[in-house]
Amino acid sequence: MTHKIEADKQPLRSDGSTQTIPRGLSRRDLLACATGGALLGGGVLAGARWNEWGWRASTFIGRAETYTSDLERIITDGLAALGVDAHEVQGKSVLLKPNLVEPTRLASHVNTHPAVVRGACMAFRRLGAREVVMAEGQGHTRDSDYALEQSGFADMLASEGLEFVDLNVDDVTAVKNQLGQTRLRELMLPRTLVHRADLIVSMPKLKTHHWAGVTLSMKNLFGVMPGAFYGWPKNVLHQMGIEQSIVDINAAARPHLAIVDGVIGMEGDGPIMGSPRTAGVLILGRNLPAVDATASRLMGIDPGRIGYLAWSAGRLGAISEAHIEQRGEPIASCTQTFQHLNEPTMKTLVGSYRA
Amino acid sequence: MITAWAEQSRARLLELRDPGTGAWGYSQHRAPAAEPTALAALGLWVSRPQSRPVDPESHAAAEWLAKIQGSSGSVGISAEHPEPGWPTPYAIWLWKALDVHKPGRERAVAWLLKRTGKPIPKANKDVAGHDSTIPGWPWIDDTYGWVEPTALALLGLRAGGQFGHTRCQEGVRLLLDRALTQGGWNYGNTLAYGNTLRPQPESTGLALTALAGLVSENTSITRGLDYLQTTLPTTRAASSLAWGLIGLAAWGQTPATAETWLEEASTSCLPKPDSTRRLGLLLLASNIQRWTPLFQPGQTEDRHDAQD
Repeated sequence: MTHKIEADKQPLRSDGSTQTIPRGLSRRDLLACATGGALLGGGVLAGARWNEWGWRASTFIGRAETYTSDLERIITDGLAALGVDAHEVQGKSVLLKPNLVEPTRLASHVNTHPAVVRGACMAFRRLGAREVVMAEGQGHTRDSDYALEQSGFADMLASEGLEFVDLNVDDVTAVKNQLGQTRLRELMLPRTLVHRADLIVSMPKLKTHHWAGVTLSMKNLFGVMPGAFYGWPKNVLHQMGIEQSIVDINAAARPHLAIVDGVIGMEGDGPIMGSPRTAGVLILGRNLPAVDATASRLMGIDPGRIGYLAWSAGRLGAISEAHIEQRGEPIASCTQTFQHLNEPTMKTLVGSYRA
Repeated sequence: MITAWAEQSRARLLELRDPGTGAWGYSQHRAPAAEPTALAALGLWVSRPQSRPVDPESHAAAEWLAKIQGSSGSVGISAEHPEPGWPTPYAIWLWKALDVHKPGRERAVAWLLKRTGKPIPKANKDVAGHDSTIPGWPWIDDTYGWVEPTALALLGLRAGGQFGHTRCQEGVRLLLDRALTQGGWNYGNTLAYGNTLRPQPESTGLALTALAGLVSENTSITRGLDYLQTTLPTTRAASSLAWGLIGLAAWGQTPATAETWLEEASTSCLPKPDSTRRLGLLLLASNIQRWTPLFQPGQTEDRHDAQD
């Protein structure tokens, strides 16, 4: 049976209804898929599902040569290309979740750049958002002030009047782990995420990752999980399986959009100790697996070789190039070959995708 | 004499307090939680004027912490969330400082002694860069031991008089093993695939505070102190600055401008609704001599505030 799914046409959540479960496919169907996956894989996320259950998605690539480019305009263009308009944003609370993995003044390729968050903030405000907040629950330091100060965010937050919420110590709501790819029966999600945000925007950095292969919009949501319950670093999630945790968190958190900072990315020993790699792009999309698949291709990596993306195909979205409509710049014009660690499991990723 | 910024910080802490419970949340109007409650109460206690020998707000907070202590002896995140128990050392510090809740304090110390991180027997030291077989203390049950919970636990055990316990020796071993070669500590990883990771002032300050009095100065200590002396002038992030200064003071190295830095950090914290933990720590850093004797040998149960 084939389901026709219009991932791009789904409304942004306003009533708590699911966004990641496609039209025509019930939650029960999805859970059945998840259970099947668990049985087949024995709890290990592996194996591409090229039957993507009719999932279709769009991603937008915009050229952004430097952080002084007009990032608000590029993001505005991207949102428009994805059909995100004032009607959908007006009156909404928008939560921007950057990747603030580690405080450092010296390495601008580690964290999402403040200029990208500023551009998104201004774009959503122009579309009529009731409020825009930035939220993070960084994993490598408890001191969010230090993370913000050292990464250049503190000045931007002050100049834009942008509120910051420390998700590590937010009040929490327990949410049933519906996918169940980890053994966690419930996930403790910040109340800001569950009860305040109407529109959740994952804003990762374009990076390779020494365990997961890549760290992009889906992995970035590790940062919504409160350290008070998962630790600093979020060791509970590591022990449960990074890939399994990625899909469980994404299914529970229900993000609506992704904006990837690929102006300067990271290759090699990501997510912290890799080298800067200028890619000169922003990547946007509503469907996070599709965004991460496109971003992987931009790094020269076949997304089907990334465990959590292969698992997500047909369950949480589309990763097949044939099922992702490319808007803005074509992938071929932006693709580079990002290096990985010189480890046997990582070698197979380098250059595995060629446009 | 209490300084103007300390007076303002005290007043702000009292504003942020939950009137119903006498405890503090991480942010105003949010659920009271153990860590901000203990730190705010300790901050008030150590900064109280000489004319105020008893601080009723601190005692009320200690009482609230006693109420949420679990039967295991641990103190969880909040009344609603009795697990995980990583805030337990903070409660021990406060109870010890006020010399209250002695049975509960002993149960908390016993719980800390039993709690261990989950070691990894055969980790590749070339990848992780440290000895993964030392259990130490974790943030969350059944997970790995890290620098900060280990340092907090060591300070909890010291406040409980357990200086010579083998678990203390184990904690010291973990902290020394996780010291970064270039100086300082981070959350607890030293290398990632051969790349040396970056130090952080909060972790470094905590580790140095926990180690003071338990080890003699060595290369790791010296490099950690040097890291803080270099880094603290560049930050006004309250928690990092406060723990950094506490760590330096524990080794007799308080910078001459420390009080100015603390004042500057408090100025940026004061308007924020989520400044409870920060203000508590800043007050603790400004009054180190009034509370760090809690962690020194020879502190008997009836000599809890050595400087008074």
